[in-house]
Amino acid sequence: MKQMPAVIKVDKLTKIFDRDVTAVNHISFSVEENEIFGLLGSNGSGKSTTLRMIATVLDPTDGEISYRDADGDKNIVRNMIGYIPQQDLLYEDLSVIDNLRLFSCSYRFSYQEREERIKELLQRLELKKYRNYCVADLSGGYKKRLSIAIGIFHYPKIIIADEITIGLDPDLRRKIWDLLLDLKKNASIIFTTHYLEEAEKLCDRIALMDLGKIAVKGEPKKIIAENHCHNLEEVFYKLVTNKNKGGQ
Amino acid sequence: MKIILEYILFELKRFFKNIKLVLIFFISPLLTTAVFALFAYQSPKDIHIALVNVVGNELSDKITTKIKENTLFKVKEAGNIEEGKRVLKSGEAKSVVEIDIADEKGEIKIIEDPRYPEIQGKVKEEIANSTKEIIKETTALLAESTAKDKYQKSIDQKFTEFTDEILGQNSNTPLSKTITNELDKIKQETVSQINSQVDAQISENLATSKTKLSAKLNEEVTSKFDAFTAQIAGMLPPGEVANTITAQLTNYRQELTASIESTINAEISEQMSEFQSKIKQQLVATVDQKFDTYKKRLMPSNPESPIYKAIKQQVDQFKTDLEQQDVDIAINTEPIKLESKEYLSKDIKYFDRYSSGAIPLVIVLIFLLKSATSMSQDRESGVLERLFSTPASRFKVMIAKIISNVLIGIVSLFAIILMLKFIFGAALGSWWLVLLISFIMAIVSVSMGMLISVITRDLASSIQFAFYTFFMIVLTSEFFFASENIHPYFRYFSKINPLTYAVSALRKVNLFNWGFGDIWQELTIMVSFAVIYAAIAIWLVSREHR
Repeated sequence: MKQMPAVIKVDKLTKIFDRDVTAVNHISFSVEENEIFGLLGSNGSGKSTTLRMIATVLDPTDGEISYRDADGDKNIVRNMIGYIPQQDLLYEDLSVIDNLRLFSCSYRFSYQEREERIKELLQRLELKKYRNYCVADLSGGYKKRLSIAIGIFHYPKIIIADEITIGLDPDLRRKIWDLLLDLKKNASIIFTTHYLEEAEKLCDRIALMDLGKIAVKGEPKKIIAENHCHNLEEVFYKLVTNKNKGGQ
Repeated sequence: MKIILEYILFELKRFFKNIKLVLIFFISPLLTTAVFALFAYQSPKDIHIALVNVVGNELSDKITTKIKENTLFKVKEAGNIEEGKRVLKSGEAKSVVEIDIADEKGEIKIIEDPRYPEIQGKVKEEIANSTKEIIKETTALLAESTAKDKYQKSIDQKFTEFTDEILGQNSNTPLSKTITNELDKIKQETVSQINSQVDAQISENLATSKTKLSAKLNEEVTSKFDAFTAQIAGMLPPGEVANTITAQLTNYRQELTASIESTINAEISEQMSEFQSKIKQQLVATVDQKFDTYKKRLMPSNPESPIYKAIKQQVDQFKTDLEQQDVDIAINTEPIKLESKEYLSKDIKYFDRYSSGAIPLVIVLIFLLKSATSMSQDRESGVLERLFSTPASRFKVMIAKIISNVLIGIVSLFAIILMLKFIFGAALGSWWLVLLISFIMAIVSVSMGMLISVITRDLASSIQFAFYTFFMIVLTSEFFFASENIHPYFRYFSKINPLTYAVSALRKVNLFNWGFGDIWQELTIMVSFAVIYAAIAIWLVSREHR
């Protein structure tokens, strides 16, 4: 059986910011179809920078990101991906429904289709009641729901979710897990998190980043086993925390 | 205290960490002050003027050369006043100087462009300075050649009037009246004297004559009667009869002498009275005749009279003396007048000179500040990054932002124009042209604001940068300072400022009622600026995140 090419292929990806700050240093990995790929790591390890480059909002300094069926066309890529940023990035002065309309207007949907999809998402993410609320008046949880709704509006084949469960209550976190698992049926998901048990539970494969580089990547269970640990948290301590302590 | 110091240190640290803000904060005020100084650097220099030499004679050529030699001016010669006005209209000159001098007299007219009031005073002052010497020389020449003639004529006229007044044919002149009155008085005195002398003389002579005649007649009568009485008495016997007859004859003699005396008195008195009257009449007639002759001879109206001759001689002498004196004549007449008037096709108020500039200035203020913050605000909040992760075209997003900012500001724009027109009565030209210029300037301002927003990236820097940009473009727009005031090295900075063209176009429309044909160049340049700013902004946005 012929193996499908990876949905995203990251090859020697590098990002150097001003003043020679290397955020991402020659990392390579791929994301397969209908899998959840987790980028894990401590703060400042380069996870969000990597995601922003994959989401095409940041250009790499070096290396390459290939998207299946996109032929390097950014416009096609942007139609394929759904970006859910860490800080939500919403128009705080607009209502929930207007945010959905504004962010969705560049996708190829008819007015009718758009309105129906908005209705569906409001229902699905329990935002219907708040559809006319100004975003600034929403709680963090509802802002996150809206941010997810915007990110998945156009049925993206690739969902890029940057720490989307951070700061949420356990109930909502669980709902989001269910949502991601559901979305996985039709999309590939690449997401970052600090919650290692969350990654262990959701991710098919992970890459553990440290100081812009990938320390280890593979299936969570295999990584745990290969490192003679009981869970990812132990792996993290072993490969990242202790190593950095030793380095110091 | 320690806490306050720590806060201060943190605040300073925060400020200095944002290098853009530091640069804007420290460099912009320096730059703004430098621009202000450079644009208000000097009193007007290199003033472009159109020079029209109407007659082209020696004097006007001399003045033309002198004006051309003035280093303050950049002179463009025009064949006639209409050509001069065309040059003014095209903006190649700020004033038209028309030299209209013939026969050493005439005018130097300055037609001023009301758009540049600060230039006009200098033009007039310099034209006056340049031509001062020539005008002075001409005035002196005129004083020698023509003014003295004029003065001579004036003296002649005055002395003729004076002579006529004193010696004229008019007997009502004061001198004539005085002489007449005096002669009349003398005549009356003479007549009165003659009368009294005649009366006295005749009365005296008459009394003497009467006495002598009476005495003589009495003597004759007495002698005759005495002889007759003696004869009669001789003939009569003495006695009573003789005595009576003698007494009677003596009585007769006495009566006769008394009668003769009274008759003589009466007759002589009557005869003498008649004679006296005739004598008097004759004498008075003679006196009248003589006095008439005197009058004729003496009256100043008579050129042969000694008085006329004496006075005439004195007046002529005085006139000759006056003419021969080296009189320093102060001439009030200006042979060459320097006049100035504004080149206007309609009445404008002082306020109108500035209201045309105020419209684009307020447009820049509204639109630049609004749009300068719109992108950076979105970028700072992160929504722009998210928006650009969708297929949303950066070009479309930018265009949408430009248009929305223009639409938002357009309400203010209308309100401003309506207020200027209907509350302050500003002189506005064609409404649609005013709106067109304002609309284009709004687009330019928004494009410029977007560019600032893209360059500065964060809100604080955008606000500061926009604020200083506003000041800079206002200062360099020729709204406050004409290009002639600007430091020569920086003069052309105003040409790369779109506000310069908006101010120029609006002044043309509002002050002169000029049409589209006169402002299309300004509009084209403004549109070009808008396109350039927008293109750079879009290009920079498309290059973001690299």
